[in-house]
Amino acid sequence: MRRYLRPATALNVFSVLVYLFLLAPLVVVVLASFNSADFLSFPPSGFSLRWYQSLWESEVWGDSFRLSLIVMAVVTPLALLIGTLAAYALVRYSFPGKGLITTLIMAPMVMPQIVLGIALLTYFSALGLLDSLVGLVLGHLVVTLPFAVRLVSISVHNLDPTLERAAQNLGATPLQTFRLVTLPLLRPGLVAGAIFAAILSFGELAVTLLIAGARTTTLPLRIFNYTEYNFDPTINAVSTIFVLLALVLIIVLDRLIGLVRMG
Amino acid sequence: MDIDVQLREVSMHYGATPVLHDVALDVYKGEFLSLLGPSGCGKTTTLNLIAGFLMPTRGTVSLGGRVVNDVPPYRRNTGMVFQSYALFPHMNVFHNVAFGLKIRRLNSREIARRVEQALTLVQLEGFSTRPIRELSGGQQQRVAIARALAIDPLVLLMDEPLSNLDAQLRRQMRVELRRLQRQVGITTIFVTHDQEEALTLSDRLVVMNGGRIEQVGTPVELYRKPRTPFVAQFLGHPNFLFGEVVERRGADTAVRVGRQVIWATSDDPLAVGSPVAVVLRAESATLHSPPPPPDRVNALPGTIDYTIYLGTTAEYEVRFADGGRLRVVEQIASGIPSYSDGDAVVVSWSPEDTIVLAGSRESMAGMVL
Amino acid sequence: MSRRRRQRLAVGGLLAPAVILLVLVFVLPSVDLFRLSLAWMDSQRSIHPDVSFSNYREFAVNPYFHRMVWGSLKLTVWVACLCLLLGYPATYYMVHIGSTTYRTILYAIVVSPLLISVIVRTYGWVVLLANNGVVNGTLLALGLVDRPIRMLGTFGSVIVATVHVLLPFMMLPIASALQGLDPALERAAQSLGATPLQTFWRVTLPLSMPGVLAGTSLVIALTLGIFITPLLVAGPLQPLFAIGIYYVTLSQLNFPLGAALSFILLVFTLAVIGLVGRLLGIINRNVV
Repeated sequence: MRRYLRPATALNVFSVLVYLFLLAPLVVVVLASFNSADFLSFPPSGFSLRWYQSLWESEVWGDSFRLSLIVMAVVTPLALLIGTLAAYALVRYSFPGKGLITTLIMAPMVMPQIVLGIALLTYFSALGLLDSLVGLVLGHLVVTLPFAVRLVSISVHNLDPTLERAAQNLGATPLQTFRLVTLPLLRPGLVAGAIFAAILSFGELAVTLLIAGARTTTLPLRIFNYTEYNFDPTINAVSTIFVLLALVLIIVLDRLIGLVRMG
Repeated sequence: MDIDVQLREVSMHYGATPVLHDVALDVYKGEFLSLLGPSGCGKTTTLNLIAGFLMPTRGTVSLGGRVVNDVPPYRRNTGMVFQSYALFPHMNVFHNVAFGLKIRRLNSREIARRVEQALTLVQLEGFSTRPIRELSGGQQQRVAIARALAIDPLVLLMDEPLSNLDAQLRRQMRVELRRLQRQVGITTIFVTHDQEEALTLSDRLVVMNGGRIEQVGTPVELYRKPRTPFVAQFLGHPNFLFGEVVERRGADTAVRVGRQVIWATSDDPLAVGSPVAVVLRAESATLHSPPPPPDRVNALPGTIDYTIYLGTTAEYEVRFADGGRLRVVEQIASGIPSYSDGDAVVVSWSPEDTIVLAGSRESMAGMVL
Repeated sequence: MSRRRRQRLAVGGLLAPAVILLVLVFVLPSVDLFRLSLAWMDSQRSIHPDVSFSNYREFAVNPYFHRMVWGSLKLTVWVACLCLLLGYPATYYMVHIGSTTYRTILYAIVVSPLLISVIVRTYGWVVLLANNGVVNGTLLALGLVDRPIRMLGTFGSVIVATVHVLLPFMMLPIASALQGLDPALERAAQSLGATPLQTFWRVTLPLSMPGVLAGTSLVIALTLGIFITPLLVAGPLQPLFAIGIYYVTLSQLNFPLGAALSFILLVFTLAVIGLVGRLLGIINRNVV
């Protein structure tokens, strides 16, 4: 590719160090999850799967896990559906107020998470939605929607509109065109959008911290509580699961649309 | 004759920009009609208006005698072949061609039959199961045609379908296309910017420029009797000379160009003294060695400036004493050009081959002469 | 029904769910927040809704908040500079790597943090920097120190952890900009006699500026509002704006004040983004 511009060795070494820096905390946590000691020790005392076992048997971690999965399972299809419709409208059509609506949809991404959290805290408090499943779903939806819209938009953008015209010319109504031609060709963007929405919801903490409560302790929230207040090496096992999940998803994403192209 | 497509007083604006002005057009059943013009002239817009992807700002579009302004594209039964072919990448050849038939809810046996028929027409039998990405450009184009024909449309619309093919393939496909159209007998509207293509393929031509129709007619009509300078220069790149009418004797018209007087035959009522453009096609002129032949009315002595050898023809640029230049094309049977650079020659041509149109050099500013 | 109206209805229908959701769960809460910021809380913890700017005044005079602003600004400068210094070379390296497999792996390393919850990444730093954590353990084992160095709870640890969390946000826009460069440009420069260093300085760097600015603007905006990572790595007493908001709202339960601070943060963040956006526009016009 660009072989004639082979970067200097200093650059190579420096860059590799940066990538190691990026990996360091994750690697450490994964290794620590197999540590047999029950306190934070380094060097590790021995290899053991006890923390995974403790995780498997734990009722509270199980509850949090299930809750996070449920919220994710509700948020993802909703974010994808709402996001796809909006993305299609924004990319394909022009109309008055388009800029305003685009800004509105992207706004939650631009707002500092603490501000969004506080706003929802006071708002949900008045509506009685604090510490509720509905509140969580709504909060996560607001956070994930911009990402879903953006990712699907890329696919819509890359979809040649002539194909939709061809379908219509052959007799397909707009609805039929969408079903038979548009949707199948949007699949990479849809899957990417779904994956991002799902993983963002699963790992969401900033807003959750402010609107969840004892009955709605999601997995990230529980990790937070344990890290802040009492220590439990099971956290390492839970964290490793997050890392593994991310790894799997990255492979899927790469197969689908090529990571390098996502930019 | 039956009129399949009719446009009346059609104007079209993109926001504030006017794109079509007062366009009127009749397309007869079974004919091959080309819309020809430079890019931006409105030919693709016209096609899209007929297909229903655009709505005219003013005027009516009629298909089969019925005004269809409010009819959406998926109910117009026009078959369109797009410049990029627009084949559905997630379907194979069969499903692409069958798409319109499935939408029309034909039963599977009928669908299979018509797909087979369409593929045979374009000489792609046996290609049903191929995925689109494995097809060459020429093959993709034929699938696009088959897909449009399979639905048995009222009219076939083609948007520069040959532009993406290499020169050799283009020439081949031209013949193919003509044969196909004659065989099926379907009314066809063909958009192109290539005048050679339009002249070869069409029963009638529509030359467009700047959103207006310049002239409609058969290829021979347009080539031999262009009615505007634009049409004259768009078909064939002729020579242009400018001058004024000095005498009229019936159809015989004398034009003074510089210090020369040129005779032309013209039916147009051009008054003495009016500024005209004289159009002389490069292949209408003949070269002789001096002295000039006595029986020729228009004969100008000059020198060959340079020669372009094209195998069966040779193109000469001749320079005259007063600085004027003319392009002359010679058909050479022997493969050897008769003249070479620096030769003194006499250029002659007959008045019948000379076209005179109202116009001046200023009025033609912007055109490639 | 005319076709134009049909199309308008279709667009409306497609956008309606998103717009309704956002109005109900984003716009209204934001408006409410602003209104709340104009209320005030008395010493008995009851909230008076009459309009007053006392919260904003409080922000202007109370040195506690000034320390927070100052702390946030300091952190932002540190983090932005470090992200740039670390991120640009690493991105350049990644974009110019020959092997596709290796490049994909590097991309995966950069993208993965976005897919892993911030809590896990932050927690990893706790494990690394704790007194009995990995770094100290290594240092002790190698005999480089006698006692563990205190790292958690210091401003330094906040910088390190924040840089780690935000580095991908700097690297991805730069990667996008570098990849969009026509390779012929660098070749042209070299054919005209420029050394690789000169080529970089005069051609590559200026042309990648839009990416650099986008990344920097993103990192600055995110640093201003960051609170989970500093909270876990250094505790609630760190002078940082977002932590202050968190503390005021959840510990002191002074919602009006918290709302006002939130709004100040929002306005400040938007101003920064807007400024950088304008800079981007100027640079784009001059370079492109």
